[in-house]
Amino acid sequence: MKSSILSAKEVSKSFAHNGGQVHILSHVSLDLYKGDFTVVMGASGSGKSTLLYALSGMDRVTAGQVLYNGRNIAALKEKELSKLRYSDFGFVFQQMHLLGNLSIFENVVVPGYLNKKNTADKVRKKAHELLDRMGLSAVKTHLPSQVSGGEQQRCAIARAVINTPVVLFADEPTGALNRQNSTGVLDLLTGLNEDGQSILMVTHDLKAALRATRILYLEDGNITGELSLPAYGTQDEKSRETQVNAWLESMEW
Amino acid sequence: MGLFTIIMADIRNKKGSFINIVLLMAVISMALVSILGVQGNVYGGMEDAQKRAGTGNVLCLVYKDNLSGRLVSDVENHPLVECVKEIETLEASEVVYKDYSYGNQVLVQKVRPGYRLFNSKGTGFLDSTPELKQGEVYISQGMKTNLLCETGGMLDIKIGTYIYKFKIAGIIEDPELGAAVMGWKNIFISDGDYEKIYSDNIKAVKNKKTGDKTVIQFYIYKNNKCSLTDARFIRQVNLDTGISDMSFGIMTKTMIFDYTCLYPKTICIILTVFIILLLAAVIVVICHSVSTWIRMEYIAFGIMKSQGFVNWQIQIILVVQYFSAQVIGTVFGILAAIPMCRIVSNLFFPVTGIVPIKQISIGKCSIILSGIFLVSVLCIIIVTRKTADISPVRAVSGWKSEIYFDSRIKAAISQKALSASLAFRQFTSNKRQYTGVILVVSMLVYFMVTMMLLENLINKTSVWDAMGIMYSDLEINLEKNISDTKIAEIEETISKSSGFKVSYKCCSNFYFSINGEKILSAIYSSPEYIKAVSKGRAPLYNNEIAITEITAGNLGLEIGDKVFIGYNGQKEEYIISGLNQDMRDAGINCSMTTEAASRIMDTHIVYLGYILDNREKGKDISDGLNNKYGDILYACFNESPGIGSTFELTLNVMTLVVYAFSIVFAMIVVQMVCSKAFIRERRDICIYKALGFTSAGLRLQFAIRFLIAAFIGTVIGSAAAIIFSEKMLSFILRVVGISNLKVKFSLSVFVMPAVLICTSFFLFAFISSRRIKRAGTRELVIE
Repeated sequence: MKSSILSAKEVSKSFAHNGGQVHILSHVSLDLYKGDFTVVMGASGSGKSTLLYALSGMDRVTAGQVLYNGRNIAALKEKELSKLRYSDFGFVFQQMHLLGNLSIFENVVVPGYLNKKNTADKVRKKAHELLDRMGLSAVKTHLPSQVSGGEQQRCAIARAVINTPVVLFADEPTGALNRQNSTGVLDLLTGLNEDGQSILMVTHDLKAALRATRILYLEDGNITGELSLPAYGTQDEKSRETQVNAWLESMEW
Repeated sequence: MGLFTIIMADIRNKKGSFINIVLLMAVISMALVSILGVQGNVYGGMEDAQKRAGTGNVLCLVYKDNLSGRLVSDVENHPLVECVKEIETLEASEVVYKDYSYGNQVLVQKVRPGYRLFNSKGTGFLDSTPELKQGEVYISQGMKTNLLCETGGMLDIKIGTYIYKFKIAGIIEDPELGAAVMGWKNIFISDGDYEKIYSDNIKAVKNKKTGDKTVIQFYIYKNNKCSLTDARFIRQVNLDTGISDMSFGIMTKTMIFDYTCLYPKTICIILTVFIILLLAAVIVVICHSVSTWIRMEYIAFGIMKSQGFVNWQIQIILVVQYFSAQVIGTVFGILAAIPMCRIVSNLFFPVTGIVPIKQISIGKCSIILSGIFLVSVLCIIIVTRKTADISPVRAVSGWKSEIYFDSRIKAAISQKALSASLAFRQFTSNKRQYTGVILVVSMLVYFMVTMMLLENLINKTSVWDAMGIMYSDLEINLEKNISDTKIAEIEETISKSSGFKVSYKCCSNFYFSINGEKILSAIYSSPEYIKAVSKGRAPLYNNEIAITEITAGNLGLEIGDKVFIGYNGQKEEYIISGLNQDMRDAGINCSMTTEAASRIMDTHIVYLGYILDNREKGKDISDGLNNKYGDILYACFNESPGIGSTFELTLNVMTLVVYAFSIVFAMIVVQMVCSKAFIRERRDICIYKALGFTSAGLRLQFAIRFLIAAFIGTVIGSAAAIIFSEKMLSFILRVVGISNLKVKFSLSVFVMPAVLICTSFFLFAFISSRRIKRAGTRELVIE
């Protein structure tokens, strides 16, 4: 029996548009389980990113609850939410969003410094380890503008996991990368998951979705399907792709 | 039409920048128009008053004995002279009101036709000047300011050996000697009282108790053919008739005008310099704003180019928007200047004693404001030349300039001071954005420090020194020529009550003719009392004199030059031994020892001045001396705050104005730079929030950056003040006779402006950054 680490209960999100309301998410309920690599797929505009941002506390929900450790994060104050962001959740953006005036190393250590439970030495040590693991040791003193897109994204992943988050959220992490860089990034995420990191990733890339242990399909703001998979690497890649493809076709993707 | 639509849309979208420039220009134009207006109003009021009073081109003060009928006739018949006018007066040695006394030359006379009484507020005149009754007196505003007296109060006027009591019946406009800064003063009494005092004077002269105290105010009027300046005119008349040599005091109409307006003129010059600095700051801010705008709107301008807009059209869009903001701001500024001008003009009344006219010089202001517009538009055009580099292809392909660049200053990011270290990094990696702020802060701090220096330089006591009237707590006027032994005995008496320092021992001031030019001369018993010698040395020998730098400049003289000095027909050769600083007669004067002066006149010490260690004993000491030595001296304890206090108060007000303007400026500049920085850094703010930073923490970072910029600006401004303040103040104050200032730097001079400006920038940046709250992590989502 897997233990739930984050639950969404009847979560809805609407935006005001031209005097009316556009409903992006409609009464979505789901649980994220410890150690899972959960992927959310769906057509463009289905509300994938909105769901990700709602669950990670990056955005407020219009209705419903997002429960973490028994607390509704949608109702948390800014200071509590901030603490959650640097201590319990990690986030990887599609556009990397690194801080342009900080070096690769500094981009990684800054959220680590925010967490007062860590000592500066511990943060720096972990940052070096992570950058080594991400293959960024050679460029750690560079500014983001001086490295490739793939390196930027790997740095963003290192930054997201510096505080050993309970959940790592990733919004289309390979969306802005070429194939080679995408594979590298996905390998890193898979590796982290193998080490026990719970991940929730949004993607519309089939190759990325293959890394999941659980795929959720979102359509018109509702979860319409779910597919469970064995851990990546434990089955033949071709048959895994066929299985996922078939399922997606059944979802009319 | 297309351009107009774009301009209007831009103004709507960038209301913040537009409003800030409107505000900056409103502040600048209000200050500038007010200053010009005030100066014009005071000058206008003075011109009107002199016209009403029929002031002559030259006023000679001559003892009646020295003004022979032949001399009058010679002057009257001089080819450059239209006519002359004689007013008989009696010289009072002292005027006392309560505990305050005025010991300079006071000339008591009958009320003159054309002189008008002020209303109780000093804002206008009474319809008619009531005839004075017996025992009543009209005094000038200058006398009122010096003695702090009021209508209805009683004055003791000492003439010769007599003391007369008069009741102040009103304050009268005196456009000749009525300003507080004038050393000589007129007092007006009824015809009956004058005749009585005159007969007392004649009796005293007959009994050989005193000399004749009758002084003639001898006015000389230029004729229409004379195109010489007043100074050249009297020089020529003196060379032909010797009238100046026979006078103990001479003032031209121009000098009277300059003295009376000295105070508002000085203040207006200082404030004008400050406004010019602020204007430079505004242009820096505008240029910075335009430059940032071009970078931020690169894509929009590129797209416009791709749609057929050419470079000059884009430049016009920018120039028209900024120019229209300037024009609107200026209009608001002029409107605000109208009441401001009236209020400030009236503030000078206690010093000038002149009711200012109330108008704004539209022509003068228009020319100056047009000049400002021209300069700022030129600067904007130069900055907008950058638009030529905008490439439509790069713009439509989503070109976005990097906000940050690699900085050589690599301060480490530390956990303990995370916000501060991040703020410092943001600052160092985007220094260009703060260049404008640093420049503006430097200018503000420079002027604030300069004002502090000026305030320290001119305080209640030093203002007298600055004006050449050396400050003393205890003044003794000697009625007779007494020996040094007697002076030592007097000093011994003083020392029994309080320790003291001799401030001066000198003769009366006289106007000597130096190479034919009438120059005021101070005669001291010893060279040690000739202070502030900036070049050469004080005159030690009987053939040496010191002159001020301004006198040297005016007469084309240098140290070592030989000059002929004349008085009452005597003429001797002297050498200039040094240049000194002395504000008397607007800095045009000379100094010498009694030994040197004795070559052309009989000299004896008349004035003794002492600074007491224990001021509380001052009144007792003066009373004791008057009781003991009443037959040979009159001692007076200086309790009057007089003009010194007025100067001090005005300087405080001026400093306050400079500080207030600086804070308003800080607020607007921070607001402008913050809003641009916020737009540019919005994405980073969202990233920081996504990483777990709070809005308060980010606002703190934002404010720290401005604090760093303000601190750097403060250091630069303070350094500039150390290098340039003294020179600038000397240059400005040269107009009032201070040609070689020695400012004293102390930590307090820098601390106050530094703390104020750094706190203001930090605080305003924190307040302006409240929009950070509105930036949400949702903005990082790409759907």
